[in-house]
Amino acid sequence: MNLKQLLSAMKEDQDFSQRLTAWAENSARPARHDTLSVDLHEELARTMKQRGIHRLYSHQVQAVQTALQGSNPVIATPTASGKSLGYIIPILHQTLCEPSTRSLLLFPTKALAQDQRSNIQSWIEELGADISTYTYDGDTPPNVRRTIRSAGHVVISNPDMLHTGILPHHTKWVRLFENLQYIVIDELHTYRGVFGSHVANVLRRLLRIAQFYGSDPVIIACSATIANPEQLAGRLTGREFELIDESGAPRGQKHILLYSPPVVNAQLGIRQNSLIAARGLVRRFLSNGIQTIIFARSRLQVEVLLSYLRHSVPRANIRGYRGGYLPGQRREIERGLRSGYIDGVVATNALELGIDIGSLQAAVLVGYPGTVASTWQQMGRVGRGKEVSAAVLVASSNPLDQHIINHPEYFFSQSPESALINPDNLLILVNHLKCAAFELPFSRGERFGGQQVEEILNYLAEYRILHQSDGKWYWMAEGFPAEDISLRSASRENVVIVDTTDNEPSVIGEVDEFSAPMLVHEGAIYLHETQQYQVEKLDLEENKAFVRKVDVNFYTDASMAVEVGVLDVMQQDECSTHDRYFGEVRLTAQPTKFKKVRFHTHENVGWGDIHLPPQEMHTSAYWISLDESVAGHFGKSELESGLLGLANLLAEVAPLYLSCDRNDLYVINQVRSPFTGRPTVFICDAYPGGVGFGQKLYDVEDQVLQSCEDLVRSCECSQGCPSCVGAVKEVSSLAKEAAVRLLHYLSAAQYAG
Amino acid sequence: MSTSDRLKKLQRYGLLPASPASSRQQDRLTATGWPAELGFSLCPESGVALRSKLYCHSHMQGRVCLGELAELHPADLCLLTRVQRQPASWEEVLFLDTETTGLSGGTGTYVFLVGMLHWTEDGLLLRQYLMPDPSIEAAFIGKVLGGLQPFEHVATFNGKSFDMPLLSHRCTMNRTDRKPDFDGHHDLLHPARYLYRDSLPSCSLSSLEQYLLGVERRDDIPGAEIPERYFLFLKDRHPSLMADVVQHNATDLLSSAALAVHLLKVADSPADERSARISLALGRLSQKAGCTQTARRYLSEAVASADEKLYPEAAEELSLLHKRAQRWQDAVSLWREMIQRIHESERGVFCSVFAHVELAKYHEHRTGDLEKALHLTSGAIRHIQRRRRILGASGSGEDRRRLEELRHRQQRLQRRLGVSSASD
Repeated sequence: MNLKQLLSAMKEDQDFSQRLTAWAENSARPARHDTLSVDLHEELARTMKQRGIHRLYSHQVQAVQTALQGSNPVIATPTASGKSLGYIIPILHQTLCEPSTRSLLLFPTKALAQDQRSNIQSWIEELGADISTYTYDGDTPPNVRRTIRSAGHVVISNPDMLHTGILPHHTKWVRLFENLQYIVIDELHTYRGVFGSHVANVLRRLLRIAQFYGSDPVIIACSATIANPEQLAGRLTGREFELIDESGAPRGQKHILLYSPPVVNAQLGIRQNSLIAARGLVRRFLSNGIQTIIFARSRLQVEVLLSYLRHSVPRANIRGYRGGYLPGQRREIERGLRSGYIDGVVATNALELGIDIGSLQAAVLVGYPGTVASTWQQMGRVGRGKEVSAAVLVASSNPLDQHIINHPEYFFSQSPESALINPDNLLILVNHLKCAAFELPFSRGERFGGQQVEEILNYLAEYRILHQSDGKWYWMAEGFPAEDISLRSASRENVVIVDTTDNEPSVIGEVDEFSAPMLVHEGAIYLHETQQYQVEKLDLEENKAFVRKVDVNFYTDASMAVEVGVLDVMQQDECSTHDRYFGEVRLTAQPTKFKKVRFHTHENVGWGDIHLPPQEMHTSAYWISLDESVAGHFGKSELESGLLGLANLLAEVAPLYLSCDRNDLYVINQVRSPFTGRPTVFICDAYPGGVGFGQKLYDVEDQVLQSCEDLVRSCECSQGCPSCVGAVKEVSSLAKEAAVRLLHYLSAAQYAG
Repeated sequence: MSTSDRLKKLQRYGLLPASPASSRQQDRLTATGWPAELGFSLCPESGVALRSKLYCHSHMQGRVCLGELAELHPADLCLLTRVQRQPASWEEVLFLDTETTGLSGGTGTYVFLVGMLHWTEDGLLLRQYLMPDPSIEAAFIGKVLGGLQPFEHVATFNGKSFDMPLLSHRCTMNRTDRKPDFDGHHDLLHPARYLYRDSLPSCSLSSLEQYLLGVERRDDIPGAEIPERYFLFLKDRHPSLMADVVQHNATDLLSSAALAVHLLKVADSPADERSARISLALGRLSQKAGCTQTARRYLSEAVASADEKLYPEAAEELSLLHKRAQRWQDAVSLWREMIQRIHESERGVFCSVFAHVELAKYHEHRTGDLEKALHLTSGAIRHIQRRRRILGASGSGEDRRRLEELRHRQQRLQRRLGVSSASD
């Protein structure tokens, strides 16, 4: 059956279609073209014709014209609408007209950079022009680096390399900076949260250096669909942008299905596991020869699902794709998908970005990806061109998933989230000011991204990192500040995973230092392309985990104990029922135990202790504490359960308002907090120093509490379930009712101010 | 909350590094006594500090008399440093050494002290330029470039990858049009390594001083402490902080000059005063510098005086030099000699195999004596096989590769000779 036939068969299948809460059909749309009002260099015009590009889509025309006029375009059209031509054309045109022109392209990952390099290279070869393009990243061999610095017309890199490899050595890049005409920021939407806040500061530094060398580059940004591309581009660069978001590209018909797995135990509110539900669905696609991409929510889910699928569709060539696979293996999988010899791929959001894997036909999303923007991005992975495609969202039992799947009208009408960054987070800002001073002395009155920074510079001078003299601040310390700052997460080092099964140990993958205690603690089962490995030793000093191949019928899942202590209150407010706070806290996190979970049945078949030192972190948080007058309405165990239920609800709802991931927050409840002396729930930022989540929650508290109440009230379970306050056996049967009552009190309250 | 309060808080939580608090001493930027105490004088317009000192020609740096430079040809420097342009006199050569605020490089690393030493009629003149504050860096770099300008050649120790690029980056940072520019940059680290890496524990300047020059440094400041001294000096201008650094820089320069004397004397001395290993290294260096004749002389000396251990290396090198120059007679007789001096050491066997192969190639392609070529090839194969028997079956991959090549050659020769018997 082809996809069209399969879809009609699915429509007629009662068992299947009654599990659907929505079946939407996005209709096909023809292309909209436009003509450039400027003449392109004749060689470029000829090459475009050769490539079969006779006319450009309207959004491409808009982007090219904006850039050529010297304004900054931000292109926010759907996946596969041909955004990259929006910068390739102006760059090639300008470089052909004026060969000294230099351009710098930034991609969030090395893989994307390499992809785009080969694309641009193919243009150059057809042009037959003397234009050179290179990727410049950690993998670039030292002997090539010199050539790139002086002769590379189009340098393709990533923010991390710009941060540590290019800016601190800008005197080696004089040719690039003196002639920098275009900066391209592709996958703009990935620069949000902590990472985005860092990147904004790296870009402040970049523009400062460009100015030093007398250039004033045009910035071209490309973004997936988010609510605020123009604002994000502006916040990241401090420049004004022209928004281009009307796509002129044609679109094929796309079926969007929302699938809710059946409840298998009504009393406990337990639903069929979303992985198992997805397995059946994917089998249908794959056994009909329909190339399918499956998005799972975590690395572990990728591996578990992959092993299920290989078991149930043995003839199909199915691969995994996630962070931690080595680059060579990833490239091989991407090629396999393009050429079609791989039938299916189970991926994390690592494949959400614009990596070229050709056009797939069906996408299955196991679990709501967390944001509307991300959902559309993943669904956009299928149906390039005019062909019919299908995307299915399989909801898990967690509350947010259930909320989305039961309110399809909300999902379809909701505009994608905003991407938030806070470049002025003090910790991030201070660190980048050090780097900036290392790159170029600061002058009195000089602003950094529009910020007054004199106070910070004085502080750094006081601590003898900078030297102040004659109205300037000079870097006067040993060392290399950029090397101490990682843009991506709190930890810089990766733990490499070493397979010691054979005589010759080999590296099979890596995990970041922060996740290591959870994923590769001693005794953990580490899954890599469905092969199971047991961790024999985790050496956190050497950053190595030693594993050995095993064959067991379970996987492991670790749990973490997190404690919180208040360090300082920045803002507080009280009302008749509760107090709200925003302040700074110390978190102590320690992995404690791991469960052994049997494949397929997901039953718990044992557990083990984890012996690892606690990790400590200082961050910001929002917390609320209940007034005695409210707490007094509840019995002791009632209060305990209600608070736990409330914490679980907040943990699910808060990310909606912060456009962050569930894992970017720690939610902790204390029946009697040592700080407030009252029942308290903390929501903490998972990044050292915090990126402003606490402040934001403090400001939108009423909306968050309202959403929690809506969610728990609209849940159909009787005493609580994993889709609202949590599973009954974990939160007790009192939780749901107690949480509803708690929320009722809380949302009725009014703050004086 | 003010920014500074928030900063203090971050620091209290350990999120910002707690540096040692500043000594809060009186800001002595305006202090005037320090240049004189250090022997420097301040240039009134630019604020750059300059110190000069003349060392007489009889000055001894360790066991080396610097005046000996006069008896050595500056042009011979090129042999050691592979520089094309030859200095005509020592007056053209400037010894240079810099002190910096760090070794990690990058735009935040400053050069704050530049020492220059050069030959004059009256003796060796040392000039040191000190940057009293980074705010006058442009002027400082200008003065340094002015000091370098009259010289066609610069000699440094490890300056090729460090001092000169750094100076050049500082020029870029100050947007000066000029850059340090020389006909020849002679880096003495390279030849010192070539000559002594096998015989000395390290080829750092201090190790060379200790073992070759007889220089003993007393109370020398370790290089790693120099940046911190400068940072402190910027704060309170205490002359004693800089005195050690200034002395360190001067000693480095004098030792570089002494090292040049030493290296040139070694190169210039009669063969019997040199070890075969040094002759071999000199031969290789001059070969790289393109001085074939000189290379032949050194290598011949090395072959003549080599012990069993060094002989294969030296002979191979020399025979290849002959071969490239198409001095076939010399080459052939050396290959024959090599075969006669077979040794059971690993290197010896390779050497013998090498000579067999080279002779076989010679006969195959030059004299056309294919029989001889085949005979030599089979001889080489036997050598390797014997060695593999002695070592057991675990012969190295290198052995296998050679053997394969030889068999290929053997078969080709057999084909050309019309011999059909299979090889053993």
